[in-house]
Amino acid sequence: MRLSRIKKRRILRFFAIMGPGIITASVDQDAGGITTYSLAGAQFGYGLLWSLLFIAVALAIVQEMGSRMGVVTGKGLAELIRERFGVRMTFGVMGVLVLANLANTVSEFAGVAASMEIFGWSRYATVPLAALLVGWLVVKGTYRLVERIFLGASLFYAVYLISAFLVGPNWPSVLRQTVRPTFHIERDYLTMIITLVGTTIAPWMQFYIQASIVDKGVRRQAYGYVKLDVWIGSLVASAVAFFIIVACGATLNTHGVRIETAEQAAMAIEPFAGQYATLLFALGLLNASIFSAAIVPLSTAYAVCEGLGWDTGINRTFREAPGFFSIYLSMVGAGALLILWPKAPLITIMYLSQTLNGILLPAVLVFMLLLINDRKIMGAWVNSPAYNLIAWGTAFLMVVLTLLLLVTSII
Amino acid sequence: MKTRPLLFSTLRHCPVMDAAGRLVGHLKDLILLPLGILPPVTKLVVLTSEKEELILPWETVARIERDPAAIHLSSEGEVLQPVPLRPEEMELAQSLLDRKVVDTKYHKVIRVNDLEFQETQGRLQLVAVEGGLRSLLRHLVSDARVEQLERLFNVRLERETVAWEVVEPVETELTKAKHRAAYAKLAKLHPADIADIIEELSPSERATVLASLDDETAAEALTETEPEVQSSMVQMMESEQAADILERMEPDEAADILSDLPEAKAQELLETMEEEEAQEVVELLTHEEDTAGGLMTTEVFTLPPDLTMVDAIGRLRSAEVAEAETIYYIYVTDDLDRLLGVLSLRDLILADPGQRLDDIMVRQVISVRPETDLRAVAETFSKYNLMAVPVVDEGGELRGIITVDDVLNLLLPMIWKQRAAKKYI
Repeated sequence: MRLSRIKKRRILRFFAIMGPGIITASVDQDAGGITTYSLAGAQFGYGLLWSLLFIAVALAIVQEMGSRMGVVTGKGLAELIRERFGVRMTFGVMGVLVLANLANTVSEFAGVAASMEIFGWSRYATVPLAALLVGWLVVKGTYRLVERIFLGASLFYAVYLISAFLVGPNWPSVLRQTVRPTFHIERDYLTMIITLVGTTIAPWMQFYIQASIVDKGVRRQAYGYVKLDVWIGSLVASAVAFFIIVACGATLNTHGVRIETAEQAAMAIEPFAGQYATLLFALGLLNASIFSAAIVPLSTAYAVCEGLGWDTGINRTFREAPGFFSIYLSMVGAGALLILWPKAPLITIMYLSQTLNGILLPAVLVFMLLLINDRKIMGAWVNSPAYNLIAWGTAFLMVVLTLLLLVTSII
Repeated sequence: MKTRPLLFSTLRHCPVMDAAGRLVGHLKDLILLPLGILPPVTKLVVLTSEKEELILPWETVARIERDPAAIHLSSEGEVLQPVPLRPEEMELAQSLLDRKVVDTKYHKVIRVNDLEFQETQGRLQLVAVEGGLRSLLRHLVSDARVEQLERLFNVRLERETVAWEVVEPVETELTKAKHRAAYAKLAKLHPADIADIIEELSPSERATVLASLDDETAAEALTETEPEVQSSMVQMMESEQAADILERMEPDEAADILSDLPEAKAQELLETMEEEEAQEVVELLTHEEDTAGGLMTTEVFTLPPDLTMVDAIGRLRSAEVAEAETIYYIYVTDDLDRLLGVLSLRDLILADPGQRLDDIMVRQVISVRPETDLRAVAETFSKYNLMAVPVVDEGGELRGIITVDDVLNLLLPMIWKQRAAKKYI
């Protein structure tokens, strides 16, 4: 028997394979991400590659925890925090999330401004336009489409991989520095490590991945696929970071360029793109920035409303879901406005926003750990000791690094 | 002045004193027996100064003081006898506060920020749950401060309470155990209202709600939900249960849902379904979606031509009619299922009881082919003012019928789009 209507949909299956883990990992490579990895390569060469090994494992484990909570409970992270810890705690965590994501939104608009300034467009024109576009994308309710375009365009990162090989770095040295950790207690170095962690394992991603799992409706029996998806996503994200750092290390660092503008960051892909390097870089950065500028405030609004029990949904009107739209629109508005500050240093903004993410990460991690180890919530699906060690270790290390940074900044 | 309502946020963490006025501990939770319109609080959980949990029967409470809140017990601390929890009881802070509940009156899902009680003859009864901004702020600042804020911004934050009578918690011990009668209040609503509520829940909650309803109600509710919700819900359910519900749906609706599922899942469900129902659905699935074949239902009421009117009416009353989507038209077919003619219910009732169906039936039947597209089907309906149209293949065999509501569901979005487009041009 030929079931023509069922078979017809096979083409769409291509997208279904790409799960929340891979999607989250791609959305993670936003303006702040590109900037941070570029700066890491330009400033420290291959010196920080070793940290990526640790970050990759920590990222996978933290994301896996979120997705496991989503599968087992069928609830979002904000919802679980609310049900387990009450209104006050929820308010606190949501405050942290809004703060971190406001920083991210600002950095996305900085990305828009920086990429368009390469073409000589003024930020006073491009940033408001981008804000309108972002608002329109969401009001039109084509979020899924946004996600797809965004993901398609993330193939842009492949240019770093090719560039890294074309420039022909000293591979033995790259490998050596990848496996041999070095550490200095020095302000710039500490800031960079915190920022690398913050941009790769961002607080908002934990809410985002769990929400995607819940929306998708994954049954416990299918959990194996989710785990695979999360690990692939995390490894791909770390690989992208790796090649951006190598490409920047081999080009910018060897020539002693310190990135102050997006044009300088674009030099890293010149070995591949030649004279089109700046053009390609600008388009890549613009894509990452605009779509993240749509997704980050949206995921924040969803999480906050979920925690506080407010109505959500882009299909509703402002009157029906005032909290949801207020949060979304004020984040987009504030993010765009802050960039219009005269002579706002775009690269610095993109970089430091990610540092803030790193500093705030432990707050979210602690809640995730308390929830996932609660047998009343997770039953037999609580963390294994190895997972706990790595996740608690990450949270603890981030606090220590932040304290160290504080000390070195004062002295 | 109206007395302030007694709220859980006021009582929670308040000191609990024994008869001698000594501190026993602080109130941690209240235990409810969730029966009746005003369910009673049966026990209280006290967290002693030694961080031990003490569950006491409500009978030990002598009085509740307000401003500042305190609970006074009727016996001395040493003689207090802890009691165990019963499975049918509900820990309020644990399983109601901060949780999602359904307001079955206004068909909304809200999150509980506070609980309101009333005191009658020494008993404490749950009256309502509270949502809304005011109760949310109460957790962050005191009620008095909320009133200050109201004056400052010159707004009035109304309390948003929902009477317990119409509240249905989304997740309880019953629902976790996948108990059939888990959603007693919800199950009484009209399936279309249940569908509205289901759409506001998360995919796993939807599946739990649907599984708790009886198959008939579940099938109707599932029919009423949005297409994207339908497929995700079916995917989240156990195949057995999903198949039971699909069997009870109109085959055309079931086919629509199955066609949205991944192939493996659809095949699995078809294999789990009863042979006969699955066969009908499979037949429908072989047609393209926006054609008469994809729209039609195969549940048609047919009669042989040599039947008399009396017998025909007798057959109409019989059980087999219950399955048919419409009996407004009676289709007359031969042994090979070829469509010979049609007559309306009106024709049937007004005719002479002794006449045969082929005496009065209309032989020039308006029909469509299985491959006729949606627009042409819709035009047929409006041109001939039909309630239903038969679908006949090239061999003249009656394959199914399309009722006007099936077409309406598909046409409405098109009409709205055209209207919306006109508005902006």
